[in-house]
Amino acid sequence: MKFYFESINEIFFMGGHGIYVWIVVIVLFTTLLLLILNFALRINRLVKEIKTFSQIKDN
Amino acid sequence: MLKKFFHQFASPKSYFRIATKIQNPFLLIFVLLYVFALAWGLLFTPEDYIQGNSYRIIFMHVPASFVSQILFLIMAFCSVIFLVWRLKLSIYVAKSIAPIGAAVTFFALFSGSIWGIPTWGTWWQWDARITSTLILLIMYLGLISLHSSFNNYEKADRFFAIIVLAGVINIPIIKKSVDWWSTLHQSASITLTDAPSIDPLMLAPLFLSIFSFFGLIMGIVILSSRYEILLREQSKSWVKSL
Repeated sequence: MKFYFESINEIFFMGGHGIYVWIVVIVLFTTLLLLILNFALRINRLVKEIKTFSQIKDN
Repeated sequence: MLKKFFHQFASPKSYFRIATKIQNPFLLIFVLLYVFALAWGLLFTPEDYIQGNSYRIIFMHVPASFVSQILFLIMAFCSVIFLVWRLKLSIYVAKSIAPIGAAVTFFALFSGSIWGIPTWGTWWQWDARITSTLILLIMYLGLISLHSSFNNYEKADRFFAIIVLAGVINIPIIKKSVDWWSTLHQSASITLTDAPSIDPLMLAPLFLSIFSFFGLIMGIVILSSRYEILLREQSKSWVKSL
């Protein structure tokens, strides 16, 4: 593997195309993070609701 | 023994237990693998001699486009199992794929649009590949709203499965659109019959990014199917005892 950039600036700007590449990277990771968090939080909330409901029913 | 294994695994309870155990390590492995593949593609591959550095979007756009179609095929497979054998788990999984499929298809369209600005000079064109992918996104969204529009889960599941099977016709159309019509979108660079037209230095991270992104999305499918099972089986004693 060879590193193809010579400075941080070059990585960031990528010869004028950096804006396109990094926007896509940011949107990709935001989408993935939102998907994971959304389902993880929904599961936690639902488990809590089920537990609370069954406790109320038991009482 | 195999039959017994499948019978056991096909019950929502067993699937939920196994999915809960494997979910986090599965997600972690594929997130790390995808981050590695992406770093390889973004920083350790040479610049394209025509497109410059904008081609690096390929390591995000191609996996997303591929996975958006594969997810629909998995939904269709699950729908067939549900309609033929009435296996509840299969429709739970199919239903849980729809929102993920919509998000991945949206991202495929978004990344393609961004890539189009420096390479085509436009972010949108009503060509066959882009339009058929937009139809795929509309189908995912339509399936989500169709399922939630029913009060009765049984009816909703049946209609959902039938519409998925009708919509699966769009997948070969997306795949062959660049061959059947003259499009702005380039034709396939990787096919089963011909040698790839991409340099091996770029091909290796591309394959790894497709594989790892697929694994990552399957990890999210495991997560969302666990939610769907909890939602549908909440009145069952095994869910209450969690």
